[in-house]
Amino acid sequence: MNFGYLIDALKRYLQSPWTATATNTAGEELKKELEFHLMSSALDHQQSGLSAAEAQAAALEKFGDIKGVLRDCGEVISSGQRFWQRAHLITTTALVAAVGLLFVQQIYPSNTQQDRVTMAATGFSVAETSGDVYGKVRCPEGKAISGANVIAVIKTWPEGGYRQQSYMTTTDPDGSFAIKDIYPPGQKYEVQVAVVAEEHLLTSTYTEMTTGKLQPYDFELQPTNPFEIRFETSDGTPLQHVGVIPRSRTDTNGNIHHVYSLGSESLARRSNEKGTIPISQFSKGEPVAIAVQFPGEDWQVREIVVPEKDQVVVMTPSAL
Amino acid sequence: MTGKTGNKSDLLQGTLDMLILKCLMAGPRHGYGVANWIQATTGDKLKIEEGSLYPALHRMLKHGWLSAEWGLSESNRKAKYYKLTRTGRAQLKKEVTSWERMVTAISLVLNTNTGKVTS
Repeated sequence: MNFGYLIDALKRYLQSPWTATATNTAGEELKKELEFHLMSSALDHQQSGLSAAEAQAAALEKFGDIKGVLRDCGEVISSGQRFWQRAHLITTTALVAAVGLLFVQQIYPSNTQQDRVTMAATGFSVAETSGDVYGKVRCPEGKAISGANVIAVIKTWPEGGYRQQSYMTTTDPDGSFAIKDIYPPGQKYEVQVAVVAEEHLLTSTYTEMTTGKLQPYDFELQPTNPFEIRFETSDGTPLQHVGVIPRSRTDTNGNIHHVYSLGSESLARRSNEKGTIPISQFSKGEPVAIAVQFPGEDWQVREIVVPEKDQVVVMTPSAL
Repeated sequence: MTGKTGNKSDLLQGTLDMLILKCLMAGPRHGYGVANWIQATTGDKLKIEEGSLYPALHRMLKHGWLSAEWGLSESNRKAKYYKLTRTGRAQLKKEVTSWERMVTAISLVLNTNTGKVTS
């Protein structure tokens, strides 16, 4: 496309806007108006007995300075149109600029537009967010653990700030799991994956500031025996429907295994009519944290040490 | 209205507008009709160049005191007819009031008996 020609055409257009044509039209009309005046005047003089030439001369004399009249009228007309000429120029320029901007945006869409169309939860484009979290969950003997909850938390730092998203799935009968397209391999990100399974220790792993695609996870969950928590009022009445979520534990090596609160509410289990609930993600004697929710109240975190023997941990609302 | 060239001082500034507005009170007229009306009404006592009507007519159009449209004249020729607008009527009222006030003031001056000044 010949842009030089277009720009030249635009310049010519702006230099000779429609107002020039309008002024010319008004000038033509004025000329006709004055011709009518002079002709009518000459005819009247002729009817009063003057010759055609004398009548014409008399009409001209009576009219006065024709050039002066044309000049004065022209000034009045053009002064009225000056405002519209400026308005026309401004409007035209604004329209040309707007069309140009749209044209440029079509060719070079801005990041903002791209984000609006294809932004993923990571804050990066969907195309960039192509990383999968996948792997297997098994017991030490290699047996697959089916139905285990796998929670992946992805942290990213897009240009717009910090993002944290939580995703959950459960393992298949062969112990495998996959959560697709949740992190941007080409960008820096962090990921925490936690596995919560019945009668197995809560296990999680954290990957700090990394790039590239993650290797498949291989979780080996240690079996454990459940212990029981009983919820009751201060006078010993059992409390039913109290929610519990395993939150964290510290293993013998000092590593903390943790379930983020974000998106973990679906893991909640409720106490029965006796106020009891078995908890089976912790090992005896280790300090743990659980999230507890009494009916109608917010979630709270309670830290306890799992009893060494088969003892029941009793919790009351006042103790929370 | 057999005015001499450049003899505009015969008419006070702004008076021509008032005369044109008054003329158009009776109905739409073309420029030549306005000139004839003024000439006939004043008994040719005001010396106005006919051409000087046109800048005034166009100025009044711009102010919105008049509207204009092309029509057929009595001689069956195309002519531009001027018509008084509502704003033009209000303007005429203002100008007449102002004129009357000025005439009164000038009359008071002229009718004053100054007597003879002696040194």
